Amino acid sequence: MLEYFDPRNDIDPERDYGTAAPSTDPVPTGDLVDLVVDGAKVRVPDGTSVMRAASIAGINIPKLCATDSLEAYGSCRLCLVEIGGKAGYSASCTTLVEEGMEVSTQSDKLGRLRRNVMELYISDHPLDCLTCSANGDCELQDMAGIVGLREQRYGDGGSNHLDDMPDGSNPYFQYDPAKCIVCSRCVRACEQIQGTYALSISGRGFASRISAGQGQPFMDSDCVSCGACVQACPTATLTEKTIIATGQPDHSVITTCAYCGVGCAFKAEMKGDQVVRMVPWKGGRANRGHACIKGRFAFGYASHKDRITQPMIRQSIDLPWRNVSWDEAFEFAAGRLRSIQAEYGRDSVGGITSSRCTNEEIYLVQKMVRAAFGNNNIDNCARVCHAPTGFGLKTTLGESAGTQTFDSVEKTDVMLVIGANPTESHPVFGSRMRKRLREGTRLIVVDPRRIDLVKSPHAETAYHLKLLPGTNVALINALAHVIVDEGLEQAAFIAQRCEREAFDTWRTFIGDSRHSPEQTEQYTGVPAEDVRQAARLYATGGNAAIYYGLGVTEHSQGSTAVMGIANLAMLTGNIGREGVGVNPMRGQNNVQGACDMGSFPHELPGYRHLSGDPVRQQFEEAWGVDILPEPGYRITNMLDAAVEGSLKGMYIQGEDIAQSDPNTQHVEAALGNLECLIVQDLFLNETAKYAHVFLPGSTFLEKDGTFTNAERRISPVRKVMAPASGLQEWQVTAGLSRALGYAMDYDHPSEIMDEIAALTPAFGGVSYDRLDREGSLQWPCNEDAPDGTPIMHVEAFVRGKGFFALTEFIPTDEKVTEQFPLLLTTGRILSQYNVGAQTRRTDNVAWHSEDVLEVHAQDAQDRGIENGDLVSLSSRSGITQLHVKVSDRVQPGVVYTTFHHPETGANVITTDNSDWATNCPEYKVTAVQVGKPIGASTSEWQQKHARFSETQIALLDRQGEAQ
Amino acid sequence: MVADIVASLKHKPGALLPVLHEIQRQFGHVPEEAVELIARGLDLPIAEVHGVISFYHYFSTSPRGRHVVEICRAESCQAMGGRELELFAKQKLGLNYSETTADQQITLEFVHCLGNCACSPSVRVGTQIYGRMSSERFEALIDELGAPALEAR
Amino acid sequence: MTDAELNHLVKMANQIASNSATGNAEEAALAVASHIERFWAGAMRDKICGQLDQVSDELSPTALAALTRLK
Repeated sequence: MLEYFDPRNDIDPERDYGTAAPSTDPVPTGDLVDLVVDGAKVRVPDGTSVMRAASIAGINIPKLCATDSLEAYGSCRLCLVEIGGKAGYSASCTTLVEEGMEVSTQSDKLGRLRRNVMELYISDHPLDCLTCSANGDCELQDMAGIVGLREQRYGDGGSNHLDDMPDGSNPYFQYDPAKCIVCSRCVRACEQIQGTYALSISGRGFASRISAGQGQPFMDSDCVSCGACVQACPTATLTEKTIIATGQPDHSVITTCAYCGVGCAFKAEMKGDQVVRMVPWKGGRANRGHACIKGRFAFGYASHKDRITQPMIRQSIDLPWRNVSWDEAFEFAAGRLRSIQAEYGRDSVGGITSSRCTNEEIYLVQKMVRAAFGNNNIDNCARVCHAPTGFGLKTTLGESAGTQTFDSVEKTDVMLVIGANPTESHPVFGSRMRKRLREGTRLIVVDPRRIDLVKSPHAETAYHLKLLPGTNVALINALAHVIVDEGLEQAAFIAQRCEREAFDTWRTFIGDSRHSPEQTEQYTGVPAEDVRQAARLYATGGNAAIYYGLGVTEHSQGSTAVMGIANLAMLTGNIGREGVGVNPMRGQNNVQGACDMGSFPHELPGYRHLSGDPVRQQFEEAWGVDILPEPGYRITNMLDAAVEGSLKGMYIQGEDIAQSDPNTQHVEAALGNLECLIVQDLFLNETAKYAHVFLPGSTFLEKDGTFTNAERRISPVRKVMAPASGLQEWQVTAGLSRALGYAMDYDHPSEIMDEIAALTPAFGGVSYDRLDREGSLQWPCNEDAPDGTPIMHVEAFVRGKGFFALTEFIPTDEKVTEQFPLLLTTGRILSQYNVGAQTRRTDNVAWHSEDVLEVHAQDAQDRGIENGDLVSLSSRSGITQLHVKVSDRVQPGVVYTTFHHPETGANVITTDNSDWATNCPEYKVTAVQVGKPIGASTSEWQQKHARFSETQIALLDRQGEAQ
Repeated sequence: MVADIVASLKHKPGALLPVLHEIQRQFGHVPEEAVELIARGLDLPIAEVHGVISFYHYFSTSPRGRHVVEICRAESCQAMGGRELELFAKQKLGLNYSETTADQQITLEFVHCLGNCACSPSVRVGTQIYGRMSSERFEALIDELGAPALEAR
Repeated sequence: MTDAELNHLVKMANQIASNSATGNAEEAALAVASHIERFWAGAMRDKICGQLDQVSDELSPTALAALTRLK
């Protein structure tokens, strides 16, 4: 029987084939090799190991140190086989197949060898299987059974490690060296999968032990708690604490992570309706079996005591909350909104959708606003992050989305990373980037700070263009100038694929010497020669891909910078195939989806402008209402209108604008002016403290739906437990809509997706059935692309020909002054997520319990400040106080902090400057001063905020009191 | 100091080992605090540097005596009275291997093969190899080492 | 209070104008007008156009030309 292995169908993510496939191409393009294993004929791609070939034929050779997520190691000696014509015994994991090979995996001699190997392992291993946390999930146990181990003849009098003490320093997992068989899977996982290199083997021979850092507890080492080692460990040595506490799960459900824009696929392993652990799923095409500390471990917030599960209302925000039924909450909210509209006009109410909710839920909110509110005052958090991507890429390429898959990085020769910090904000993808860098790919980083990616272990030295905040466009123009000036453009590609006239105009524009590295150096601070070398590398180094993030978009010229990036890609022909492209790193799990679902004041689902009659009429017909053909308010405009007094009601789904939006005092003033604020969330967050109606939300574990990640990949979200509040969030929106008089009768979110697919060409082929069968789909997915679209703009751009936009550098209004001589830039950290609403309610606080201000040693010294000091941070917007960390990651003149903790009030400092095209706030450039604290240990705003918070929490605790 | 050593040797291929050797030569051991400096200077992960140091018996992470006396335990030396020499040395110094005298003057170590087999048994102190060692000659050597140093190390 | 919102609209209009400069004054004004029409809420456009006289000296020439077109 000839077994032909078809990688598209036959690879089962539930199985461990021992070693990886020789290439990740879905269809192998190299030679195929025929061999015989135990009499069965197998045909596999050249470069496959004997172990993997046998496994494909259904023969599982015993193994301990091999696993298919890691490179073959050959240390355990359990997988020995006999190969015809070769003397001795070969390790099947490290031996590659050869044409005509005859392999025998079983014989008396092999059996004895394997039992002897197992006997040695067991001689230094506790024999407490029945009470061990790995009972039922232990490869050592499995192998002992498979090889038929019956005795351990070495006795227990010799040297052993049975008294080694466990290390429980990490809140999520335990390291128990007494059970370690030194297979090195953990060390290799930390190197090859995660790329952090926190682990090593110390000593040698019998004294070999796993060492975190310098033999430190895990928490004190470089470990980032990604859990890859725990997953790789074949014994109980590295185990999740939840497994130790509760035992093995009884079933699992595949779902998608609710944290960042990588959108990792997970198996939620359950006992009944309790999640025991989240294990990244190998079949997930975004993450391929890897995860980070948040997705894997930080799910405890779903059952945190702060969780609110009952609807609440109150007449005004100085009164205690009152628990009510869902119907009463809907009636109250709808009544208030209608009376506000009667008094102040149709446009006096608006809504904000959550980029963390499902596509179906977001779609319903924008539908409700258009159909039931009757206006287009609907926006989402992309307003404050990637709206410039939407504008910029739509203008130049024709579609506002990333052009590649994550897998594409495997064919990249040059990475240009601008204003993104992947190892902290998209960790699983950051690990894949590091893996590619270790293979020799070159790296150019454009960032004011020295992000961790710059110093990746075992990678080539990177170009770090350390520019001043606010000068992106000048630098991008300089790169383009060099490419044109030195004749490195791809003329044939441009002639064929781009608009001639626009290119000619642009070429003349960019050729001017004012854009040269020599002349832009005065703005950027980057030496001209470095810029020239980087530009040459990008243009001529092979497949070059640009990855960018909020360091590009959150600026007054964010949209311009995005267009400049697209120009660079088109100029060098780096678009339309694997290994290249323009990759916006979308931050949240479903911000891509929120944009796709038309949660915008000016666009309907599928990025189609409201003013387009045919499209709008199609929606009007489907929804049975008239849709206002004029754009509505963006979030920033809603807040302005609220302060001014013309906007009086808002419905905010899963978004904490009081913490995440800039110029906090302005946001607070706006919220305080509302007569009806409806907040739908899991916890009483900063925004909810101003609310009149609280509608409890449901976590990603409690609902069915879909998320769309940064690759345009639509993945299923599957309910594993009943919603704590009784309703999934899509049902909540439907309930409110019904109370407003607009019926929404869906029995299941799949019906909502069917409606979306019917109305949106890019989603035409998407359905829950297909997602169940195929795992995920990348839009556009329709008749033109029945299996979805991994790479965009392959033959033509979505707008036809690519458009070169002019990108004049206009320095921001935000300039350093004598009063505010430093520039503040903001960002995020690995362990905390966004406003921290979820991660602050998990053990992740062990890593980042407060926001700190990173200051360069020079600036600290000038101010007489030392590491750990409390300082005041002030701007023209406000003042706050926080602790300092002296760091060389920032450059002199630039300071940095995060926004994860509300008490820090990082956004009290940020201003109302924003991108010219989209109003995306300029979080990344604020002129500040840092100094000794003024009087008390907290600023005036912080004290006011603390008092207000305390009052509101007290009012929450008094819920149920008679009013 | 450590940073200077790293800077001066980092250009060498496989620079970690030359750096470790030089640090131990100058400091008498490789201090634990040096690991981070070495890792940063060579762009290597801390765990990796630690792994290398711990793998080689030659590198010590704790301070050692002014003189490190190494006794060869390879086959030729063992055959020529090395075992008796070893017993005598341990008794004379009151030390086991890898231990240091209370006055911090002498650390006793073992090595496998000094390449001086024709003159077994052999002992090395610092870079000086002594062949045809006997208990008497060892005692004399220790007395000489114990005398005040005539020049700084 | 009203001034704050109006000031913001003036700033936004000026920003769009300076980022839409193409050398040709009329093309630029057209680009700005078209951007405002596509992306600004009706109420915002009405507000600034309704008070164009008061803010005309705070607006750049291109922005003023664009808003005049829209009035």
